[in-house]
Amino acid sequence: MAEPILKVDGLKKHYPICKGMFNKQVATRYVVDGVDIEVFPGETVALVGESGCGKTVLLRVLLGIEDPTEGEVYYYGKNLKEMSKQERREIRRKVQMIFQDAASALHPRFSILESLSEPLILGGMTDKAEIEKRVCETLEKVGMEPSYRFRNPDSLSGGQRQRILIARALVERPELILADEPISALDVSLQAQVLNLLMDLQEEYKLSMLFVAHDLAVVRQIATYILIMYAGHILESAPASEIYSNAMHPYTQVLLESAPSISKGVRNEDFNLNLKVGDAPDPANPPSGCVFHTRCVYADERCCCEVPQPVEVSPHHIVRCHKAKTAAEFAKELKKQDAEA
Amino acid sequence: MEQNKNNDMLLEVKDLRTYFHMPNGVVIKAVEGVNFTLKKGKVLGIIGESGSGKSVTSRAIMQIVDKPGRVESGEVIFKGEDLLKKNDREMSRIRGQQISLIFQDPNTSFNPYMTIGAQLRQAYRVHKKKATKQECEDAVRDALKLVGINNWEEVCKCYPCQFSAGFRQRIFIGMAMIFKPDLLIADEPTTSLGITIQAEIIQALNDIKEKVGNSVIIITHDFGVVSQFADDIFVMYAGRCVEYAPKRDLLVAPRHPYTVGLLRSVPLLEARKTKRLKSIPGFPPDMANPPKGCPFAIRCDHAQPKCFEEQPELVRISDERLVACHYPLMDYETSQDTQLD
Amino acid sequence: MAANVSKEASAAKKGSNWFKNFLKFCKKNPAFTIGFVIMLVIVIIAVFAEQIAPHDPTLNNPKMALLKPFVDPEYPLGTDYIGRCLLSRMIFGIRTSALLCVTAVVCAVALGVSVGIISGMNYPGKTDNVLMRVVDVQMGFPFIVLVIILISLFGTTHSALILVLALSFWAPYARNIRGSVMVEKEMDYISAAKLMGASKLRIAINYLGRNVLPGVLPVVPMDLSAAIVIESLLAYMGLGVQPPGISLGNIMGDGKNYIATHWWITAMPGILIVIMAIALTLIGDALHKHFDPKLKD
Repeated sequence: MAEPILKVDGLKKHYPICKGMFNKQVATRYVVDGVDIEVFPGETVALVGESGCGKTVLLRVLLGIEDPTEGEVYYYGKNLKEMSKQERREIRRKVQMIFQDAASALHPRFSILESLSEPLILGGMTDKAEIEKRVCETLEKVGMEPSYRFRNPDSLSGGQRQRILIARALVERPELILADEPISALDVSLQAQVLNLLMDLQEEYKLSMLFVAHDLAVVRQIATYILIMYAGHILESAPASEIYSNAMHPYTQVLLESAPSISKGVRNEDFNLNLKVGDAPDPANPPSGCVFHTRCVYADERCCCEVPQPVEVSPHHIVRCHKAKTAAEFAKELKKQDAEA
Repeated sequence: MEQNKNNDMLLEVKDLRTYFHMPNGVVIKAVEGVNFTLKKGKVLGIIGESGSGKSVTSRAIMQIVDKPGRVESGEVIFKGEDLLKKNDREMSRIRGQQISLIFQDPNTSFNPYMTIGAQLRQAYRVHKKKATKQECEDAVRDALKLVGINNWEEVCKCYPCQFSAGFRQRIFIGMAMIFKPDLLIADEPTTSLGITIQAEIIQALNDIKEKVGNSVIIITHDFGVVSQFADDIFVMYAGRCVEYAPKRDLLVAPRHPYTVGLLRSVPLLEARKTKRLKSIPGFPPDMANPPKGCPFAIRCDHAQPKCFEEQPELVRISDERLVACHYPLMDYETSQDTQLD
Repeated sequence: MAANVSKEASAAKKGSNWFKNFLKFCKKNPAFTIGFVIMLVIVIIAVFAEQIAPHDPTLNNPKMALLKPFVDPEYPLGTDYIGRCLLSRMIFGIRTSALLCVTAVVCAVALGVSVGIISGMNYPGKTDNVLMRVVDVQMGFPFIVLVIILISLFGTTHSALILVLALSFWAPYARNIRGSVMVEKEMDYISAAKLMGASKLRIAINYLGRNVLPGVLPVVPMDLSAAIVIESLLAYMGLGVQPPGISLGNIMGDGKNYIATHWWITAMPGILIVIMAIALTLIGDALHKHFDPKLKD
């Protein structure tokens, strides 16, 4: 198998909580607590988790905006920590990010041209005409008129701004794109547009992607491999088809169940939420044992005290759950009932 | 029979128009002639993209349209009385007691410096000034129990910031239901919440409806939410109702091209994995300067010359269905489509 | 479309029609125009003081001492107690006052903005903590004590006065800017800039500075008017510009012994200060409305 473009090994990011006059550390927020990811060339890995599970922080660490507390990030087999300035610059060119909130990710006083030429200028391009040409080309690629380059972000709609963000990520011809919920802030009719655009561009430029999303429906079309994240941990990771057909972890099953579904609406079915009412754990005070046990309906004593180890149930399908078998069986039972009904 | 039918009717909105008169002379026609009816105990889902006028509609019903907005014309008949003819005092008696509203963002809907209990008691005293302490306490207990909060005594002693967004939204629903109003308007109640929490909130709303028997108007941009909860669905585009139908009919056999487009572009879990989602091209129209004909014509695949010239009226095409389109798609079934299997 | 594009292009490239835009802005804000014209006239007077002033401002003419204003066309605003032309003195006074105050406010803004940006970017951290304590001390320090200390250290030189004025104005800028920087730096576009490899300096100037500065610009004219008033106050107390130097304040100071009988010596420069303060406030107000998107229609 080819070398992964991005490899994350046991990544942890903890924030100290400081109080008092002398900023004494009184507690720690375990925002990301041991995450492994591999992204191979041409793959789209989806990282799915609800808000507050640490996925945005994870991305910031991957991009080097923040330093990890523990664990390593490798790009093309090289450790991010050990890279020289030159190498880091190269990585910055090859790895780009698409932000979630298009309203805040563009400098409000920069024209689109300025926003888009900034990465090129910083990347060492000096010829103004050439920069402008590249910007125009990229704008056309994302389906916008090149004349938009003289506009300010204020005068654009949300969908257009998101396109500009995509253009900014593409303008340097990257190889890997990290997309932080690129469509969740958009209107329904625009979500599909932007998702399609991303897929087209991916095909054209042979991009790899790490796509962060908060529900499983969104990444249905685009993902080849899916990671399920909860409270700073990866609970299940598997090829996309496996997740949709054979989810083992109870949390994955809950996510699948609670995803918007029209056919269920048509059949007048209720949600079948196999979940204890409650909230995701406080990162400053994570539960012992399995992080999910406070909401898991299958949880028993073992789940409360023992951290489940990753188990590879089928090739590349890794689950961290003591009760995966019970849960999977129950899910199958449900499906059967569904089919009968 | 006729008598019976009238008694069933809770809310009837006729030709409601709300315009925003901007200081620079521009008139934004946020709501341009909306008609619908709501029976007792039923759930109406209003679906539309941002800027389609769905929130303004709910605010117009409650008579809380902010300046420079103004309700221009129309009738809002609630229990046989026109709310638009009532003065402020009469309206404030109706608000909260007979109609209440849930907002999108549970972070800003509570006063951060008051305990939950104090805020709920205050909400009760707004209309029941002479209530004794015991009555207040009972009302608060009932309200919280209604939304499934059984440890209500502890919750009452806490401040809003001690709870997560999902739990706060739950409490807020309880507060809105403290007088058991006949109509609950929920304006994007789940948009800012995670997906499992969203499912829980929808379920809570459903439970309340069964216990209290109130009607609900749920406003959202998410087909998943309405399809699971609503009885009738009302699709809004550019300040107008484009289609109004019972849920099942609308989801299975939409008639308006916009509804079709929306349904097809929603990323859905049950979608067959196709190469691309079908998306609606273009962007919604600028409401300060709406197009002459059908507002959807420029984005519509089926548009004919007439569509660009003449605004279609909302017409009844069968017993329960209304469509505003010159050429409704009479033989369209979503099941033929690739999206729903 | 094409014509439109080229038009926009030329506008963006050259920025040549800034004058047109300025005129448009003036048309929309009559208050601003009034203030601007007044200030323009005053600035021209200050620049061409030698050419405009009818007399030598230091020439005394005891025969004509304490002449009432509007009586002798030779001395339109009258004379002071040793017969110096009040109008000429005021014309030169504007020059000194304006020079001092503009320099002082520019220094204050520069200092305040740099401290604010550095502090905001380093929040939370030691640098920020130290800088903010300095700001706190500055803001809590009684003005008059500051004046006495500085003047006794440096004497009543121009640079000491500039220092006094600058020190009394910079702290609020630092606080304001720090606040907006703290908000802005959390925005994704700053992260995006970091990702592109922009240096800290570039982020500070090109991203934060460009975004945060317009927020404080409207305060500048207001501070300028306050500075003029404070300068006069100091001079009036005898702590400002010393004779033979002339400033608006020390003209007023000259008149303080005659205030009951010969009001004009104090009143004339006083009125001028009021007019300047009003004009600057009008400008500041208009700028405030222009730069604050919330107040824009």
